[in-house]
Amino acid sequence: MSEYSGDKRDITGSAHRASANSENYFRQLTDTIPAIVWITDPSGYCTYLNQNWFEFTGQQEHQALGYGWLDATHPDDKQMSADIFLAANAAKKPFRIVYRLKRHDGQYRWCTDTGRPKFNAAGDYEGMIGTVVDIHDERMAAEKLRNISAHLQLATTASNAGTWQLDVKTQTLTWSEYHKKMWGYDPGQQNLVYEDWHKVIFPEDREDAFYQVARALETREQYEAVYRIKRAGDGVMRWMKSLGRYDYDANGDPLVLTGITIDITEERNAIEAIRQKEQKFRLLAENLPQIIWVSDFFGNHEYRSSRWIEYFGTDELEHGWISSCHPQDRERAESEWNRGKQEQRPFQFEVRLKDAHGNYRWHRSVAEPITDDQGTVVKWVGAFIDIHDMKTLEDQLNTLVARRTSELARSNEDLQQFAHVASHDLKEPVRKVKTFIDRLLHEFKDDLPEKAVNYLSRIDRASDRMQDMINGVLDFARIDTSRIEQQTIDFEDLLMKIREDLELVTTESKAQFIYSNLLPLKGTPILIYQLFYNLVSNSLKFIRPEVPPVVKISTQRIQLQPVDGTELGSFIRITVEDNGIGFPNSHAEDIFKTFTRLHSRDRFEGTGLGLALCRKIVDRHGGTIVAEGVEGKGAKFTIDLPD
Amino acid sequence: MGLEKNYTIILADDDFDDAELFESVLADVAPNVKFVHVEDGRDLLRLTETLLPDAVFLDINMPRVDGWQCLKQLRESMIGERIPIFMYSTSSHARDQQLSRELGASGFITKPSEIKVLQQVLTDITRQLLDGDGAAV
Repeated sequence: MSEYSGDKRDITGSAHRASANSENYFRQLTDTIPAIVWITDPSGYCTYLNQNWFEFTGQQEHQALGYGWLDATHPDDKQMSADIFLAANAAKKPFRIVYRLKRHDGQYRWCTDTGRPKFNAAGDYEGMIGTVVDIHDERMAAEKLRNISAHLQLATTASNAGTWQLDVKTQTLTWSEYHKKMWGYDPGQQNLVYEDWHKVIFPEDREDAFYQVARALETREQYEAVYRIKRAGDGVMRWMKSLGRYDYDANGDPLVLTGITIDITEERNAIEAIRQKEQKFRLLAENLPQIIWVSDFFGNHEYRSSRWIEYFGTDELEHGWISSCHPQDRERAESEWNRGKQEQRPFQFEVRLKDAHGNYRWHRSVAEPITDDQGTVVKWVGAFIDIHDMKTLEDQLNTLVARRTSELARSNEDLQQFAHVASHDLKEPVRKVKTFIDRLLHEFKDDLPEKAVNYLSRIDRASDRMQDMINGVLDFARIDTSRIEQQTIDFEDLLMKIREDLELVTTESKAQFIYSNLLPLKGTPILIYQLFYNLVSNSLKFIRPEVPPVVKISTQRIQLQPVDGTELGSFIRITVEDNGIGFPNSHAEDIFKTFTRLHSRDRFEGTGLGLALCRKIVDRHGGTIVAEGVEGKGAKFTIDLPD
Repeated sequence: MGLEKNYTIILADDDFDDAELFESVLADVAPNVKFVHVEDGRDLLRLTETLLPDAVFLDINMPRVDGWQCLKQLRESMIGERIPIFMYSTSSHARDQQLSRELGASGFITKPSEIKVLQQVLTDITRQLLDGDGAAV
């Protein structure tokens, strides 16, 4: 180098050889430098380029020297480069240009061209000397990095993420503006220290957040922590999630921990809401006596209440509950379940399921589809309800009812049998007794003492009563088997017939009948006739001495709740009222019982069946009959018959 | 009147008391009418193969062949087609009266317990028989 430091201009004449040698040496030297070196004269004319230029650009010496080097620059950079160089040359000042240089393979590479002015010992300007360095890769990397950070900036802002960096050595924390905002600080605030991060974290969560920092360092894995902060300023609680990564130096020592923090409060609240909902459901499901399950769309169980294990004894049923079905129910249950799933509607069926002890119990299986906003089934919720006792009871009840029904049918048959016996076998002897009394009186009346005739007539009266009684019981038994019709009956007509049939007693007692508003009735004429015949004849029978009977009969249409239904129905209310001997109201119900008599037979004839018969007739027609009485004043009967 | 002819009335009844009373009352009101008593429907059907009665009285409840079967068979036979047949029973049931009409009985008589009533009934029937000279009532 010292040789070169001499002035070129002094090398003249005899010194020419030495000068040529020195030139060679210079070239050798500059060619070994791993950079492009160039020299220009005071006019700006390039006089020298080292070998590296020609290798890089592929130019020949005659193409490059002078101003030819500018041709190797990118067309867009050429003018700018020429301007800067010429200006610097004119000003005799150092310069630096960054331009794209066309490499021998045609690729433009970013390069920096740096030049400095050269002066001789006398201070005269001698031109420039400089170097060109390929900075293409560095520049590209920097650009890439710039792009990345721009993207990152965009991404973190868009995702509401704050970025931060912890210098491990100095323990200083650098926050992005957004991060500061998230923490409740002013985005422009400077001088935030580690403590400012640390102090807003919930005390309960602090330890874990720090532990995670240490853990990530130890395991060299990603740092991840979820914690709550009490935001500086407003003190609002927010859920945060931080993610970070350590960078290490060449020796493997940690340099910085870089990361982002996301506010996950909304997400967390949503999850919490779902969790609470689910917890509520579970609490409910666990406390229900039924076996509750939740499945996905395909029926794969996601949840089973603890009753499941209690009942089946295991949570691992190969095919779910299907394998626990009673063999006789399995096929049906499976097809019901498949059909329900296919049709996507609530369904239920009954099935016997085997418990942990191998016993089968009847269950009702119910399931409901859960749909999303679009109405698509996403889940199924179902239950197995133990109906075994109910079902068994039902079976028992059915058996019992069947037995009782057949018993009833039998007793009904017995009654029919009795009716038959009564009509043909019981009536027969009574009739005979009467016949022979009649023959005795007819054939031997004149030969019999008066007392004997009197006895015979008393036997005859007793036989009459016996006959009435038998007929009454027969009628009573027949009502049960009579078909109830819905014929319209002219009530006035019916009462007329009754009065004709009771003509003798009506005349004798000087009875008076008062009718008002006689609406037509509905029923079986013969039975309705019997009903009112009995009531009217009672009114004519139970009379006070010296008081001619007055019988008032009226009807009205009313709305009533029928005995067997819930809907209001139209009824005809009939009242039959008399002014006879009446009865104490305490007996109002008793008088409808069979063979109930309130008076001695000597005072009033009767079988004790009349009103029992009346009630039965009314019952059979779906109506009601009640009595009211005032002793010594009269009786009132109220009958409600379906219209 | 045609007194030369012997009128015959058959009563089928398993009740001997009733049959005795019937015979006694009939003898009272129509002494010339011949009375034949059989115990049940089977005997009556057998008898009518050889004897042509002028009227038949049938109890309903009888062993072997009852009154209804007997009535049906008589009405289907040549001889029974035209003679008066009366049901004579303790029953007073409307259903039995209805059935007797349907099966072609000439009348339905409920066995009375008073002699006077039976006297009246038999007087009416025999008078019609004699007046109508055996023709249908």
